[in-house]
Amino acid sequence: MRRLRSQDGAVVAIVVMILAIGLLVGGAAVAETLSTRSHANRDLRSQRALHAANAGIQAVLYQQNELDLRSLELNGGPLGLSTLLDCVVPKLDVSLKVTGLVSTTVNSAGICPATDGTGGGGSGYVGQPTGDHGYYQAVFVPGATAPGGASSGRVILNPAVVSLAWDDNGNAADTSHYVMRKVEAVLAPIDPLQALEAAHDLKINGLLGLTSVLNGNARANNDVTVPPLLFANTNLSNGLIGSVTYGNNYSGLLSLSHLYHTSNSVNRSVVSISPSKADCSVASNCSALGATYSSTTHKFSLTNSATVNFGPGDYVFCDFNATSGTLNFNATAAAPVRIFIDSPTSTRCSGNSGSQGNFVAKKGVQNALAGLANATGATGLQIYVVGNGTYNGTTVEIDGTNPGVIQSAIVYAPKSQVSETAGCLLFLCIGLEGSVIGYDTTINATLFTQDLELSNYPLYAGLGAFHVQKYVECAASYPLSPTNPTSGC
Amino acid sequence: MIEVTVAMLLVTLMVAGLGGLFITGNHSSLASQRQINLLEVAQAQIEQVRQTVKQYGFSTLALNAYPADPTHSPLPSSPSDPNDFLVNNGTSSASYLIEQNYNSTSHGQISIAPANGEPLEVDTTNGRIAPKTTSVAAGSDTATVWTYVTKATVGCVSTLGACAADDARRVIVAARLTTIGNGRQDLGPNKPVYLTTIISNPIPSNQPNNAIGLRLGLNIG
Repeated sequence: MRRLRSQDGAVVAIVVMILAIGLLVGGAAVAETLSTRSHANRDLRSQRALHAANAGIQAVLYQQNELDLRSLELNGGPLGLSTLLDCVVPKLDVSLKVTGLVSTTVNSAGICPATDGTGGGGSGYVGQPTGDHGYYQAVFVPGATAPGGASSGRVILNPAVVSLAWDDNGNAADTSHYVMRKVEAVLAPIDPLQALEAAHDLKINGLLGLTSVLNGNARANNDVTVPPLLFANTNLSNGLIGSVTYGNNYSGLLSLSHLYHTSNSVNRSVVSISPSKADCSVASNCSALGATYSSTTHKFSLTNSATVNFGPGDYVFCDFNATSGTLNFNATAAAPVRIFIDSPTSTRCSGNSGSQGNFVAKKGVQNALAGLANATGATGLQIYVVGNGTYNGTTVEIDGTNPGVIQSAIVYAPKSQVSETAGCLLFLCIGLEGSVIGYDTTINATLFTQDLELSNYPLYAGLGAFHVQKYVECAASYPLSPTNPTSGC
Repeated sequence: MIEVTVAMLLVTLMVAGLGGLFITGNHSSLASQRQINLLEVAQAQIEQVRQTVKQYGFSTLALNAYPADPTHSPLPSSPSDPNDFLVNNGTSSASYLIEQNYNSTSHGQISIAPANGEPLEVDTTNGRIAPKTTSVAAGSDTATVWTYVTKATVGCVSTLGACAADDARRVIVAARLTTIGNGRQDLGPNKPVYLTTIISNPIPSNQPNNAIGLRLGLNIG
């Protein structure tokens, strides 16, 4: 009895212990429940912010694509890319409604100025509401670089759009509790086509190997060989420099006023052609080619004196071989003729035998738009050659024989050996127009004039000039920095 | 004896309290799980809309029919039917209110929205977005998804002349549980979950001469 009485207090102690354990367990359960609720709500707010950030990217992308790209001279024409550095910034009224846009230039940090409501130049961006507590601040970053230096006239854009968005949960003043997401949309770089480009060697053979005129810019990653008397920029407006950029050796007696030594100045990716792309975008164009075209092998072959007319539209061939005859490319002001030479290893061509993957026109090409002022007609004929994966593994050869016909075209074959020859009769030679991009590029002409209106025709109409290549999620902090918006990306 | 009785009473109370707590916590967790499931449903719908635009083009980003009429009028403070935000539905002036908080209409619309909301994009010929999808799996439950496409305002380059009215479109997705598979039927969320974004035309329709330039390295379709 005494022993039992001596243990009376143990009940209280045990109960207290159980209560303490119970409280701990209960507390943990409450904490877990609250945490789950909190995470669920945060997830929702975070998703709202992410979609608001995407809305910001779409809005800015749209505004940039509204720029008059033709006047931006994507080919590096008279104004180069200087006008591309413009930013389109919204003007807002007191209710944050967009009342218009103003064009401004990038600030000292190379960033489009902040939208403070008046159209730019403010110290901070104004948040744009997307609904349900979502807001965004977004900015276009041109990312302009001048690989050859400011005086080279060569500017490349590596543009991006950065968008910071948040869910304020209905309390705009409490910025510390914003749930934020920040996204950078990396856009496709813009590097205008020059008059002559070679991923390896570039050679210009002038009249008797002594003289030639280059109206435009030329560049090569390796050696550049030009006639001793090479005159540049004799026939263009002052804005287009008429420069030569080489990566290894430069061979030419005349010291050009704009000669640059820069490595890797040419970096062109090949065009890829969808296997489902029709041989002719306009079906009747293929039938108009008659016996020169085989729908089985997807090859074009002209070996007699016939005249073949190409109507406006796209053509895809496994091989193009014209050793004789006349080739008329009847581009119009509204639509070009675009010839695509697919890879020999492509689905379209891999079943063929014999040589393929080349574009050969030994009697030249007759572009209906050739000879227009400033060579604007050259875009009327665009020739794209994919190549076989080996440098110089495929060939582009355009030989002019008629001195009365200007060879005018855009040739884009960055992995092919490209040669283009102007028509000559004795010493009377006529010039070449357009742009030629090859691996080893050889020009036989006394005059080459760059196309100044390269932006006239779309290669692919499904995307704007500014389009997203990839998205990067960034560490978010409020507000978006006007001087370093890509921080944390 | 008394202290034993008191102790048992305390323990009983604690066990009862803990039991209640666990049940409440369990319900709360279940509601959270359902909210997450709804969020995933809404998220999937937005991705599906993006995919539609990518595959069929921007012009197909429109409702293929008018939504059903609102079920409540006037607009409740926290509508359970997303169609309640429709104005002049079924007419050429149909619009949708862009709320600052869809679950508390007293906050009103966002500042940049017109008074009657943004015009609804309905194109019965080319539109590929269904205004309502039912029986969408949301975990072990099913949900109904409402989708609205409106003409959003993101500004345009006025120097180009008239600005295109519908080159930027707002997509609003609402998802609400309709059938509960497991667990308490009366647990939330009872209100729809909303997600909003904007999709713009990759080629502005007022771009001069469609001068979009040469772009290389693309798959040519």
